[in-house]
Amino acid sequence: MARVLSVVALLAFAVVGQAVSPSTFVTSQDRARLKSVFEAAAPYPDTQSAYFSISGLKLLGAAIPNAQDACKQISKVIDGGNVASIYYAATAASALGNCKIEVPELRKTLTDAIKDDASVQDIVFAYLALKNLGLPVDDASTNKALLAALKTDDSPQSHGYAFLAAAELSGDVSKFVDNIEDVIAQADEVDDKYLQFEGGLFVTSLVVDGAYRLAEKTKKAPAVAQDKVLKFTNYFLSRKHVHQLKSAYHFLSVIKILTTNKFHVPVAVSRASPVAVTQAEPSVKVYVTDLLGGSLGEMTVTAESARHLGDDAVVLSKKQFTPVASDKSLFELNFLEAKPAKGFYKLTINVVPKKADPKLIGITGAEVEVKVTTKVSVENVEIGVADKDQATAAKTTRLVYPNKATNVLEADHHQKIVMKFQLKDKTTGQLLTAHQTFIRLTNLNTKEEIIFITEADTTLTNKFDLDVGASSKEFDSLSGKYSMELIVGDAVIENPFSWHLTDVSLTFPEGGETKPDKQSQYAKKPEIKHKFNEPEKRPPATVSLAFTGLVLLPLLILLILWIRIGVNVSNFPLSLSAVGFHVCLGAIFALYYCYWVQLNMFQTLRWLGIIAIPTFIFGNRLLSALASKRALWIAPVSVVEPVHFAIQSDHKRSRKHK
Amino acid sequence: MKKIQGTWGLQWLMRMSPDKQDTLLKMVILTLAAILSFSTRLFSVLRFESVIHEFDPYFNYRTTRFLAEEGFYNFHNWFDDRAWYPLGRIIGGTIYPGLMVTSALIYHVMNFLHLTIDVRNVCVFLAPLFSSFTTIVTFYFTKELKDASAGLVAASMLAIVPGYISRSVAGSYDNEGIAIFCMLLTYTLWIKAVKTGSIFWASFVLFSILLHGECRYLVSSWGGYVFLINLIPLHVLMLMITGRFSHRIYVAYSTVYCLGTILSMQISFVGFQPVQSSEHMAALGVFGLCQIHAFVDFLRSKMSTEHFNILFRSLVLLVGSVVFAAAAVATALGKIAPWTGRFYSLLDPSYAKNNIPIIASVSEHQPTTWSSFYFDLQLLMFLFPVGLYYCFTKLTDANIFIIMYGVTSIYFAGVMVRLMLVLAPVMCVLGGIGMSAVLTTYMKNLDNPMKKEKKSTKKIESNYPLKNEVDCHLCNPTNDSFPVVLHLPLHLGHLRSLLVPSIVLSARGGDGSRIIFDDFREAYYWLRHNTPEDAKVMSWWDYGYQITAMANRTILVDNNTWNNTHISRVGQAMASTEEKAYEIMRELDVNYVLVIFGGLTGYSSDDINKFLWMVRIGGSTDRGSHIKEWDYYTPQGEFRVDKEGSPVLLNCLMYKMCYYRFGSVYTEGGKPTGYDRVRNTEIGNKDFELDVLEEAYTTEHWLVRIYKVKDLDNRGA
Amino acid sequence: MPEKLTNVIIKFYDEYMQTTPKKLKIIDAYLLYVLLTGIIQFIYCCLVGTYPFNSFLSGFISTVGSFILAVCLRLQSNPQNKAEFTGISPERSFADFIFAHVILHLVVINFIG
Repeated sequence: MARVLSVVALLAFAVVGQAVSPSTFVTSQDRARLKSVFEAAAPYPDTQSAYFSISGLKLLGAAIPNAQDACKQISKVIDGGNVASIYYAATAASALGNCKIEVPELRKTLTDAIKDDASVQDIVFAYLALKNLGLPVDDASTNKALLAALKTDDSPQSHGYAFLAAAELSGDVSKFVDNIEDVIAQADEVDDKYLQFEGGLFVTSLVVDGAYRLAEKTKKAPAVAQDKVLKFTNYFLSRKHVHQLKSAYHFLSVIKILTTNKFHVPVAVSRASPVAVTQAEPSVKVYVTDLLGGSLGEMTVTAESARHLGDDAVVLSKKQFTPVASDKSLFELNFLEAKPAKGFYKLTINVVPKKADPKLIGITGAEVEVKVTTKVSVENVEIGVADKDQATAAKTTRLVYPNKATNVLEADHHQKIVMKFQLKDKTTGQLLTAHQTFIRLTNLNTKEEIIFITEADTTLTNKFDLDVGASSKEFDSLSGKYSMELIVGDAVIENPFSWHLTDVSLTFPEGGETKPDKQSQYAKKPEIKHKFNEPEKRPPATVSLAFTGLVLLPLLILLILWIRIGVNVSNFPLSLSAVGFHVCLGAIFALYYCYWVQLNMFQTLRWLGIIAIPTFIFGNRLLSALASKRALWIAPVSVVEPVHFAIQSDHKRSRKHK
Repeated sequence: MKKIQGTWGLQWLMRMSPDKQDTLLKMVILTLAAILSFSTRLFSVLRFESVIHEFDPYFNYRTTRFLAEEGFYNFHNWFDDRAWYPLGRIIGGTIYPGLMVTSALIYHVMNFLHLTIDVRNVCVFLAPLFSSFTTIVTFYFTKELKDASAGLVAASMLAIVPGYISRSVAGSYDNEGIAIFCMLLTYTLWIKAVKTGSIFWASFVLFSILLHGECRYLVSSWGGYVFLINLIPLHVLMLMITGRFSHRIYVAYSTVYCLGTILSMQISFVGFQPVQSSEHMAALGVFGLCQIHAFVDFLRSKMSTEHFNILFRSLVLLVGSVVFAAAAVATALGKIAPWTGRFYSLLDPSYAKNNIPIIASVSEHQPTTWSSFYFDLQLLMFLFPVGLYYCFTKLTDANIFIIMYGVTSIYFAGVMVRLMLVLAPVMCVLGGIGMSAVLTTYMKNLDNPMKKEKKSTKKIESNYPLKNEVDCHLCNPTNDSFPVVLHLPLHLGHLRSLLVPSIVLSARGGDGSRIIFDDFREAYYWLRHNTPEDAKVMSWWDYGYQITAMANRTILVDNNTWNNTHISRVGQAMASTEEKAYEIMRELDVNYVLVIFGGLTGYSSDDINKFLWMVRIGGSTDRGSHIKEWDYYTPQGEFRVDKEGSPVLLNCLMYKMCYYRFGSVYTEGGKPTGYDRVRNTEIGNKDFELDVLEEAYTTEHWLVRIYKVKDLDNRGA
Repeated sequence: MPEKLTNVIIKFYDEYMQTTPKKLKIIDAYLLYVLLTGIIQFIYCCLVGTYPFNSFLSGFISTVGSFILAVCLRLQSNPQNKAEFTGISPERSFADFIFAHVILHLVVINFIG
């Protein structure tokens, strides 16, 4: 019967996929790290951290330092009105043992919390707290209240809490058990490998933990498919490096339940030896354990196949591991016996317990990756300098690893450096290519490194041509001595090396275009400063003054001439308009002077507008008076048109009619 | 009821004296023409919305807003760091502020009167407003030249001449709009000054000359503007040659030149050009000639012929030798170098166009085709020679001016489409003169009871029996401008294309419905709201003004093409391979690149069609010497984007930006993917990735595509 | 020839002194004054240079403008030219003269810097 079952299980796995078996477990380092996380929580700022820390340590089987102090601290930080706080305190206290929590209103708070319209979390906390405190509690009403609360809030988290409580409830819990399948179905799958709930590690572990606790109680395997368990497990293990107190506790709790429960115990197959399989270390070792690293008893461990990752060649099949005497959970297999080529391999491992155990899951299709490495030697190394136009055959020297060439190579920009070499597998004697083959040229003065890649041709010969002239850009046209190194490396090469081949002296054309420094594009650019126009030199002040005087000279001439011609001012009409007009005209020119000295254009225009009006009126009156006067004198000569607009006069004009 | 009222109105009209009727009718016609010219230009506002069109107007709008908000002195000292990154631009010193000052003035006056109108609407409606002013000025201009009836015809023609409408529709807020007004005002005042010989009128010419500065903008940077500034000196010279020089001319011209020179130098952008550049030397020369002429006249009037000859000869000898010596010394010292490119541009307006690619790249600088002469001027084409004929029959000083204006402007308009705008008014004026003269001549043949009132004949006859065929055709008894009105629907068909704002495009959908492409604004607003405040946007210069005005982002080059090398740099980036372009873009600190692409919608003035200019301009400077126009053609010398196209073209940045992801789009039924609807070909390079850019935004119809320039790779990567 | 020239000039001078009205002589004196000022400015620019070019220009144009306006005034108020300038009385021309001067100097001051 069991056989049939396992065959069914096998088929199921074949369908679901192979890669779900956990490939790691909680090692002793992990435990130590978790322990330090828990210990770091003290002194506890609140009951929650006390609870996580104390329970976590207990799960690890470690002693709680200063148990009495811890107890006191809990009593100190407890909040009697807060259900969660009481729950954490009560649970931590019970975990401590020998620790009594005394808070007056605590009981009332808890009993009040269990009601139909309370939240799932509060009900669960209150219920469990009462339990832990050894106080009486009404299971039936709790059951009812929980179911009612779940109706309003059916998130995975609430269900997780409900499972935890249901695991303690007496009476009919079948409703909760039925929920398990639905809740699990809500988990999201990631990468075909992980299953998790929204909310991360905390929610996922809460649900799985609760489900298994409930299952323990009902003694019936939870309705979770085995592959799902494995995916959950993978998810948990992927998060084993948690540093948060809460997550760490929940992680540990769920891992614990996954190792101790009676229904599903995932088997972890993990590599114990280094990934590289070498001549010195020809065997692959694996641990077959439960999630906490515990032994699962005697096992038959078989390597179903070993597949090369590059070309899918299968190098071995159905090879049994031999148990290692010193450790019951350790098995080994001499991999090199199969004469694998270098490269990466994936080993598929099946585990069959000597004593059939149905609770073990994930026993087929576990995968372990190893790589087979090899040593290389470098052969047929030739280096030389050739003319660019291939006019003359290159003169080359042979080099042998790890010797350095004796003479310095010299090349200028009409030449190129040529180099050839082959890489050979030391064990098989075959030529091969490496993933990384570089030539590094280091300027001996500036220590600047310029790196070129060599490429292998079809005959697996690596070639390197350095056209000195064309690559002057890379060198910033910096002539000088460079050291030339060959660097070979690959993941499957055991002996990567950097070989100082020779020194070369490169000569670049002088003043060749110096490419802007590559670095400079990251550097700060020089600040732009505004340049003002330099004022031209002005002549010395005396010259200017002299000319100013000179300009005034004609004025004198004008006055003299006028006097000679016979200007007289006596005829100046002393009417209001005449005086007003001249005053206004003077004001306009005074305004211009002010404009020159201080005013701006708009102010000037405004003032000009103001002055212009009286000027206009006065001028008009004055001139029409003059015109009429003249018209009386010389009316027959022409008809004087009426003057339409500002008409003015001044001294010379006013006297002219005399 | 209505009838009675109508009759009453007629009676009222009849009761007036003929003179009054005449005046009233003139005013009515003139007002109608002004209103007509305003309203025809509002089409685009009605059809779309009150937006500003084109490219330059956006800049003008932006500066006007600045002026209105910040005041004149801030405006004058405005240094704009939003444009021409990283150079910046001194706006105050490099523009002709007349347009902005005018609209800011209107804005402030309106607000002072509590008519709240925002700056944008002032700008949108400025051009129509000024075109109705122009209509009125045309009336006075023509009136000065001939008579009032010719003025009316000219004014109503000007109101609807397409060549002018196209530049002054609502929303085209550009210098052209008011420049024509200023130009005509200047010429009107000039004619007035010449006729009267009054300093007063001449002084007023100056004010308009100040505005005339605007005309310089309209024609700046290419040879054409020589025409405008030299027209008045030319006129004076012509008068001298024909022996019509008089003291009046002397007074008018000397005053205009003297005051005009210093006045125009007040605009800081004009600077000292009026006394330094060769274009203005003609004016100076004519000024000098005027002085000599006047002086000689003065001497002649004072002495006998014999004496005068002696004096004249010795004076010529003296002045000639002095001038020659001075010229020789100056040339030797290198102060005068007359035979430069600028000088050639004087004689040959296409000189600049042929030698400076950036000028040639503007479609408005292309030679005018015959068809566009007709489309822009309609029947004025035929009336123009008639007008010229009538001007020649009765030569006066003023008529010589209009003849010169007409003939020279026709020549210049033939060189460059843009100058059609200058031609349009003179066409209207001469056309008006021609038509009015024809009517006056033939009207005598009509059996006319009111014959004695010749002037008003043409306007009031509503009950004429038609006498002969000629009259029948010419004098349709309602209005002079009737033939023009007949042409109005014809105009409008053509105008529809003129009135669409280029910022919003429309097309007919498959079912005949109208589709509006508002992609430009979509893209600009995207930039405004989704890019950092200090982002620099690179685009071809056409879009510079719009980006600064609408997206409020810093740009590299704009429509003020003052720095050829900078534009060339952008052209180089567009024409280079991605890698090369990246270097340039890093150098210029570009964050976003914007291209206009019409391949999906069939919008033909997109960047691919402008691309050859980018190549030419990019290759025209030293740093772009690696860009050769020939590389972008097929070996057969064609510019194609399909598989036959040159590989250089198919891999340049502009191509890649335009056609990125386009290769997988179906654009037209029955055609393969990546079918370009402008070039009507399937594009040649479909499947490529952008390395240094990433697509940031593409508008609904793919008209505008915006790319973000990727940051530098991490160090050591 | 030179003698003839001087003859002519002397004769011209005499005629001028005799026939020209006094008011025109006043204007001519003014013209001479402006001309001399302009010449001095020109000499200055030849000798020293034009450096603040706007200042030089405004000064020079101010003289040129004054000269031109005065010439215009002279032409318009010369009774011999009456026929040519119909509708412009001497008063009117003088008003124009003042008006143009006001504008000219406003601009000059603005430009002088």
